[in-house]
Amino acid sequence: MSSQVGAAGLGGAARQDGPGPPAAGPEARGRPRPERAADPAESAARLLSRGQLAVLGALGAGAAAGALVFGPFAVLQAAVAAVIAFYIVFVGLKVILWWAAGRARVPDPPLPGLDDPALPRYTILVPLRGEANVIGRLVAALSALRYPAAKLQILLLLEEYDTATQAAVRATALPPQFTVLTCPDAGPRTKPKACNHGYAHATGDLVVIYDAEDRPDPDQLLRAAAAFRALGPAGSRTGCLQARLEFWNPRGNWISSFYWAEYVVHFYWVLAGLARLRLIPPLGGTSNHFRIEALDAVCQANGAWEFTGAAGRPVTIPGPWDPCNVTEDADLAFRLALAGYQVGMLGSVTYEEAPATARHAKNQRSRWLQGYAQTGLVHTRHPGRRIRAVGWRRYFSFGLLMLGTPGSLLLNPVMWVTTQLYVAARLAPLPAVSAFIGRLFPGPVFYAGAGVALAGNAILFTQKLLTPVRQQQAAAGRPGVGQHRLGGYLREQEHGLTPRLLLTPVWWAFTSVSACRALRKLLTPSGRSHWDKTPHGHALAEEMEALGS
Amino acid sequence: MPAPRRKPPPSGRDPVAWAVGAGAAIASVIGYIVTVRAHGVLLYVDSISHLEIARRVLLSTSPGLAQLGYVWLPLPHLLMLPLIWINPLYQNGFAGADVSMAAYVAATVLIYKITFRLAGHKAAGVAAAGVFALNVNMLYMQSTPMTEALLFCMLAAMVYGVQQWADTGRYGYLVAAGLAALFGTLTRYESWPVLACLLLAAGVIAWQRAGLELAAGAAPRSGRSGGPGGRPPRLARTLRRRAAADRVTVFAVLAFAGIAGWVIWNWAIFGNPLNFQDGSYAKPSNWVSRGEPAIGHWAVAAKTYWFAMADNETWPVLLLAAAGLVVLLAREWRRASTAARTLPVLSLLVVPPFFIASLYAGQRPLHVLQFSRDLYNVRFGLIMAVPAAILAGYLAGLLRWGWARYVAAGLVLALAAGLGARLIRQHDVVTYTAAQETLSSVPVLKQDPVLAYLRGHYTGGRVLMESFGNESIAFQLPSSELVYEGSYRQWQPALRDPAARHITWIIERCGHYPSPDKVCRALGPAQLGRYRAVYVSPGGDYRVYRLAA
Repeated sequence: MSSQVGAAGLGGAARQDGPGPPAAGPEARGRPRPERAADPAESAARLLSRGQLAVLGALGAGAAAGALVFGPFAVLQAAVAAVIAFYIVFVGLKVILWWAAGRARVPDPPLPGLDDPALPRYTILVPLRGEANVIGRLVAALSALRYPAAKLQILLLLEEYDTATQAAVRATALPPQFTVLTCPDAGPRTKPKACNHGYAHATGDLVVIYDAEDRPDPDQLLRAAAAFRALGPAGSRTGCLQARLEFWNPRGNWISSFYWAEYVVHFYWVLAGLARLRLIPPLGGTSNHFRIEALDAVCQANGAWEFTGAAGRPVTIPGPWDPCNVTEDADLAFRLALAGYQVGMLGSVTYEEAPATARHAKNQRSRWLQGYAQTGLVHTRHPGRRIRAVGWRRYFSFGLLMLGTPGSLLLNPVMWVTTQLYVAARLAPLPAVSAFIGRLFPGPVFYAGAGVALAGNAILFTQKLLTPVRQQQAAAGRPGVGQHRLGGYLREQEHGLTPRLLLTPVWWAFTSVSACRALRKLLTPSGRSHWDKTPHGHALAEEMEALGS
Repeated sequence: MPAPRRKPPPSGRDPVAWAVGAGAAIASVIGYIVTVRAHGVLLYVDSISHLEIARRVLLSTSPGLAQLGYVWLPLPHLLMLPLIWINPLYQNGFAGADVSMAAYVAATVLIYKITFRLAGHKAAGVAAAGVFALNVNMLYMQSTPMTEALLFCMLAAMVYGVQQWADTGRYGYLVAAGLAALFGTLTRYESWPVLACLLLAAGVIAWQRAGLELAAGAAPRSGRSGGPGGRPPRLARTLRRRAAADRVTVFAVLAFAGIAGWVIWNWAIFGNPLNFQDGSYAKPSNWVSRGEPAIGHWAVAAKTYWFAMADNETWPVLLLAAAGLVVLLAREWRRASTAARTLPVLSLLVVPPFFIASLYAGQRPLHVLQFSRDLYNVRFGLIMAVPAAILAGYLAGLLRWGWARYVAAGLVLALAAGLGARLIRQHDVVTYTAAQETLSSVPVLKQDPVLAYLRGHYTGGRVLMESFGNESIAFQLPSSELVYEGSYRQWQPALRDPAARHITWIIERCGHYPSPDKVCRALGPAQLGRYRAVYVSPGGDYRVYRLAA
């Protein structure tokens, strides 16, 4: 019989769900609690710190002074030059990561047997909200994981206000390794808050997060355990292993095709390159396998997150994830680095369902971009302290990715419109307009900008275009044993996607729209920690067909 | 695609390839020294033009990348930029010859690799490399700032990339082939028909490789049984078609990006996307006279090109190549799988039909002594040195015994060296002879007196002169002082009122052969009122004016 534990006994507003008393024993042991409260300034609860405001003010004052001394046009020229310099560095980083990923080798140690007594205990956190329609498939997918049930703790993390999912869970027969936890409705309604709540109940030596739509390779837990074991004492500072995520339905529609390609680039080239260069890979939202001591260290460093719950009562939920950050995974990667831990890649795949509609895609992407910006802003506070902790290479590359990704998407439309205006003005002709724009880009800046625009777009476009061929070629090398059946389905779906990806520039424009939405939400206090939930289960029929059921 | 008979070592670990490269480098340097001693580096007027174009990008009255284009493709000039600004290297032509020399060495190594992979034996590769590298016409052309060597290098790279991809299936080679095609199509127009054939070859190869890879990596999907690899035949065909489409799309996008970019460039700079074809300086009528014997006569056109090939490659090499072609087809075309891997090399054989059609249509002039009293563009026949070398070298790999293959290779090399020595002794290096003829052509001879005058009397100041048809004069003038037809927003105003545009010197060509230039046609008494004629060349073809004090 699965156990259901509310938040009772663990701090904060409590509610006991399901039959029987709260489970005793290890499930109620909890994690070591931090002794102090978390500093809101060290979380995304605050958009900008006082120091950051001061810096922004100084920049504004500097621009005003420059305008007075050198004229406003000179300030514009300096801004344009700075934007071009940013593009060169940002695109350069992506190219370097692509190159480094080509040299990355993910270890593939032999899998331990299920009866290996040295297998660690494993906790799986499954935050759920609005997932009533996929509970059945989720439980089946998690039950298919090959791992000793006695060493497995699967925590379904429900929300206090999500009665539909609660009912669906109650209606589902859960194997004994499943435990249902209900998170109190206090503070932001976010996935990281739920994960923190689950973490407090974790008894495993290793912890992994899965989302409702995840279909991990059945051997993924064994692979992670083997990989951690193979690292040995010398690799004890590897606090997390990130499995690769792949969308199994790339031919669903054009949106899913672009999503699929983006994930290939992100997990096979960007994250792999970052890990290879021992920089800080921003974690994927799921399938990240943690050593519990790494999470403990981050939790201690964070302090306990405090919220106001029902009837104004204080709720304390300690945990390693920033509950106000909408990309808590990226944020946690840096916090792990601050605590002295590294992130590696795991040679296993979790299959996910790509969003079906442009609206859902836009909302999800805007959350990611918003979260990246939040993460970047949080970790550019006290830069000296952070650089001393993680090193300047890791700090700057992480900051560049976190702030540069949404930043570049916001700048792209401006640069493209400027370019098109210039060309149109030359052809019209409107010499005043073309001369004005031309003066904004003096010789070296013009050539640098044209070069990075041409070369950068060409490289990144080619990278996207190569994803189907790359995956097809790599498919021959993927192990068949332990691979989810969706993997075989995906191998067929990956064919013929290249012509669709020719519209990548259109997709880029779409992501810029998402970036604008992300900026708007970021600047709106009520939207800052609002979690745009992506609905799941729209491809259940296709999944059933793919699995032959 | 079956594996080649003998698998070449991984790239970079073939000592013979390094030895071939070293030998080619030595030959290149010796060839350059000999050419310098024979005062042959700048015999071709086109050599001077190429140098001038490259120089004007950096040093002219309107420097910038917009100096590129009009007729010639831009890559050779871009590659000349590193040294073109150094006056001695510009004047002696090494700033352009260095590109040819490096391309010659690279082409030699690539021809070795192509033939090695085709025949399966290093002896064949060495023989092919030797036939190419010891071609005295090739040795001369690689010592000049002409574009033949770079074209051959790009053609060899295109063929090698597709061939390697055909044999290994690794998409990195497909990308490399696409990039080589991109650069090749920005080098010379002859690469465009070769690319068209390579695209067809890539389609055939992609279809074959897709079938092989799908059969090798196939796994039954959803338990359904059916055709090969467990898939239903219809699905297998669909996947094969999609996989082939993915690869062809990747190659085509990369390969044709250069052509697309060139068309856009012409549209952006000159307002006509096909300016390189029908612009005023691009029209065939600039070079092709109505009385050309090949125009409208297929047989004459075919024979003209045949003689050009024979003059450049020599009859024995062409016979060996023909024999190699017959044997290649007989051996490899017995099965579709082996036939496909010959297609990249066979794509090079589109060059003769291309030139024959061009001669027939009056698009290009080519004079051989068998039909004309002069030599003109006979170097067009040198392009066949690449496939001739490969096919001739292929024969050396046919013998069964290793020692016999090396003996055969040695004989081929001795033949190539002997033929080259004979051509030198007989002063029959046709490309050198043709260059000498251009130097003694009427248009060039008529510029010599003007050059002599300017050497003694030019004391600085802006010069107004049309560059087209006056290249030798332009070469001796400081490029930063020359206002010519490519001087942005200066040419037309200078023609209207040269004195107001601070023109100190005016050089015009008003004779009948060549026809009067634009300066002569544009300037009348109103514009020349403030100038006095200081020099008139013998025969009155050229006049030099100087601004009166």
